[in-house]
Parts: sequence; structure tokens; C-alpha cells
Amino acid sequence: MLTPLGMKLVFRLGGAGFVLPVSDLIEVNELPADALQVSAPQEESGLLGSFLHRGSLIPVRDLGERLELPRPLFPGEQITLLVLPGADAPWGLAAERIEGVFPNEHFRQVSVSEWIFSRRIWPFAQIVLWKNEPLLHCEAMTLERLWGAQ
Amino acid sequence: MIPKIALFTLGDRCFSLAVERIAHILPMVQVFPFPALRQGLTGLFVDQDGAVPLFDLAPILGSERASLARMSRYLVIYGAELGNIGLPADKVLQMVGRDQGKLLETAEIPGKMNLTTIFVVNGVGYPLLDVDALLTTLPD
Repeated sequence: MLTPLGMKLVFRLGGAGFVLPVSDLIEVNELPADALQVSAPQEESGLLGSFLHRGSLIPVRDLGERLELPRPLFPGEQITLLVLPGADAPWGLAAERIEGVFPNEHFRQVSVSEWIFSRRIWPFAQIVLWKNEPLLHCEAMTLERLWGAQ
Repeated sequence: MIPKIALFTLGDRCFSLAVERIAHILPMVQVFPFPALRQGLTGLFVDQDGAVPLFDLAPILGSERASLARMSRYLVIYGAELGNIGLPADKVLQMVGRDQGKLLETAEIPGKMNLTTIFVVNGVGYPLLDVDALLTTLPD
């Protein structure tokens, strides 16, 4: 039996590929765009709205805005929502498309010089190759730091 | 040994590079869009099992053609001090000895960052790119 701890999720946003350990994932939801509650004033930058998850409203964050990716990111009626663990509570990350879940052996870390990244936008620098494509490696806790979590 | 200079075109522009800094030249491969790269880097491609950024020379050379880098025919893998970097080129014209032309130090050409050296051969001037210096000018 495969253990999900040895798997990674590949998703896309703004044409770019990202990879996230499945161990960092609470669940994935496909939901209509109007399921997001956006009526409340959004004090937090990069926030798409809130979503009722297991009885609690959780923030749904826009990684595309943080990474200055081109818009619109969600042209359709559906939003793919990754629910991730947070420092204090779960939170949601909107993705354009899920490519799938693959064993760790399908990924290979490659070294790149940190200077290629804008430190202003992205303070982390870990790239993996998947099917000969470079993907940005993310972890839930480090991603949340983009929104100020400690 | 006489150092050599390689002459290239990109769109309607030309440029030159010190041959000893060129790791290899290959036909254009797929360049993947990638987030959070420094301005001037237009994506990543895979070369020899590593991820290498593509440096868009078009604005450096004063070309107004958008997306010239991704549409070019060749990738020049340049061994920069910060690591390998891909430079786009449409034609690899020739490689010549430095003694076959003249190196002219000029004042900075308006609109063309850090292009201060021109290699003139057969009456044609090819900006000699100091890629290390150019990379240090890329804004964060």
C-alpha cells in the first residue's frame, strides 16, 4: 500500500508548475467560485475570500497575487482549493489545475543559484524536476510565511 | 593561444561573446514559465539535468520585438560567475580571433545597458556582452 507521506501533489498557477508534499495537504476541494465569501472587507492583501471548511471560515489566499503572476488566474466557474495546515488554523490556497499526485521518486531536486529569484517576491529557492520540467517546491508552512505567519 | 570571439544575431540585432565563456550551444528547447524570477529572466529550461534561466537579451540589444528570447533558434549556454545562463540567438555567424577585428571602448550607448565595448570586424560592430556585469544590473 502506498503511503501518502511519500507522494507529492503537482499543481499549476499562472502557467507555472508547483509541487507540494501530500503530507502538507489536508484536502483538495473543487468548488464553484461563488462558494467563496468575498463580501467582507479584505484587510489582508492577497486574499481571495473565505470558505466554510468543516464548520469554520478559513482564509483562501491568492498565491498568484503574491508571486505577481499574470491575471486572470481563475477564468472558469470552478476553483480548485488546496486546504493546507497553518500555524494557527487551516487555510486555503487557490490553484488553477491539479496535475496529479506522484511518488517522490518522480521528482529530483536540482540546485540553482539563489540570485535568479527576486528575494522581494520569493524568499525560498528549491526547484525540483518532474517529467523534465522545473517546478517550484513549496511547503505549507513556508508558503504561509508569505502572508506573515511565523 | 589567441582568445576568440563568437558573433551572433538575435532578430535584427547582433552581439558577440568571448568564446572561452561559452559552455555549449544547442537548438532552442522548451522554456518553462517560472514565478518570482528576477526581471530580465524569462523562464527556466533543463540542460544537462540542471535548471538554467533564460536571459532575454532583446531589451539589452535595443530590440522592440517582444518574446524574442523564447522564439529564437539557439540557446547559448554561458558560464557566468553566478552560474550557467542561457542566452538566445538566431544565428551563430562565426568565431574569430580577437586580432581579426578591433575592440572599441565607447561611452554607454543610450538605451542599451552596459554595452560599452564593440567588436568591429569586417566593418560591422558587434556589442561584446559582459554578461556578468549585465546580470548584476537585473533588478530584484
